[in-house]
Amino acid sequence: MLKQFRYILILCSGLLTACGQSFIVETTLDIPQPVPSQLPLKMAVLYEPELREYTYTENNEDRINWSIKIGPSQVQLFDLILPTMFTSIDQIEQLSSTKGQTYDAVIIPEIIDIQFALPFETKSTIHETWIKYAIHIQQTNGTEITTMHVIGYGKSPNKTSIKFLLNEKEGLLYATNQAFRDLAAKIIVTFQSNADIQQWLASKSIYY
Amino acid sequence: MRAKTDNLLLTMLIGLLLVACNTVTVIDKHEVLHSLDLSDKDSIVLLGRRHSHQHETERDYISCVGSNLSAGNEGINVIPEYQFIDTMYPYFEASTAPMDVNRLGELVQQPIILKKFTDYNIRYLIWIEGNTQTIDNSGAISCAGGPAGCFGFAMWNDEAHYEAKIWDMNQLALSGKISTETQGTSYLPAVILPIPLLANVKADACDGMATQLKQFLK
Repeated sequence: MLKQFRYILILCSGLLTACGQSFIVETTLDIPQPVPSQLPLKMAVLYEPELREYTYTENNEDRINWSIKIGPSQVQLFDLILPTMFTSIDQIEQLSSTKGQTYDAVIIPEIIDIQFALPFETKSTIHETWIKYAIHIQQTNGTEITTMHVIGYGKSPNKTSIKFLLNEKEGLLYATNQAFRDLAAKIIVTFQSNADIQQWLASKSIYY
Repeated sequence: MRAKTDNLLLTMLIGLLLVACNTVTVIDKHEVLHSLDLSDKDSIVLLGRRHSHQHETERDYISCVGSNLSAGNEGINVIPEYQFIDTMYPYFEASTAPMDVNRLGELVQQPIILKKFTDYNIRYLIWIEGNTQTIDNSGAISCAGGPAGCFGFAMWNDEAHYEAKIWDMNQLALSGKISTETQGTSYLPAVILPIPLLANVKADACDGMATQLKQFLK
């Protein structure tokens, strides 16, 4: 009897939650194909489960049951840009996979933070997204070459707020896609200008 | 008494119409640093500066100037802004675009970037910086709903400042600068229905910029 009561309670609680304004979305990626500028390097990329499966969650008075799945878009982003940066790029499952391989370096992207701002919070008519990454670049023996810190910012066009009777979700997804676009651009450009990278490339007699 | 009130309102409205939509282009100036030479086969690209989120140049302003330049029999070949930015991704994004012509010189050292410029026949790359802003407003309109409708009066002043910098792709140098400043006052009287009398500040600034650019380039 007690067990049945517990199930009913869980069901009721689930129904109450479902009736709230849940915000469950998955981001998408729609950015241009970068102009290729490949360095003659054999690189590996490691997508840690934290990045691959990253989901932003929040639950408070203003943001009820927020769940924004970002992981797949992040992997898609790196899969799009890395082949335009290096002549060879392999995806590895773990760092130990590099043993016995002749990779020049391993790239490990890490998401540090993601923030969203809604029109009613900022008293504006736009949605905004910030995504902060640390891109670790290390040699196969574990020696760090550099860590690039990159922040991507995106905003929706004006007047996507609900007060203009347009889709709230669409505004946020648009802003996030713009943040991905900014992020990808900065990763490519920063890699080309980063002093540690330049020094490492020079040690291999490779120049941009 | 009613007729007198109607006449008064009519006179006010006519008076407003006379002064309304008043746009004044205050300054249009240009500075030529190198002689310009644009052939029929050459193209130009107009790009808005958006590196500061607070003062972004509007996309519709850039496309307005572009449309004006390409219109007519003697129109100039203008590459659409977003087509160019997407083709050149990631080098002309708001956060990565070259801020000076020297940086552009470094960029075109990459053969693939240079080829894209050559494929488009781009002779001049024109950066436009500035925007249109409402600088002050006054008055109020109240709309109670129902048969009473709206009543009141509002007015605001808009100001447009834009500056174009022309980069010569052959010489990799700044060829000239053009600027335009426009001001205008818009009125919104409301007697049952609001009647917007808008000053086309941005559109006038667009016409001013396009006219000067055309003179400059042809």
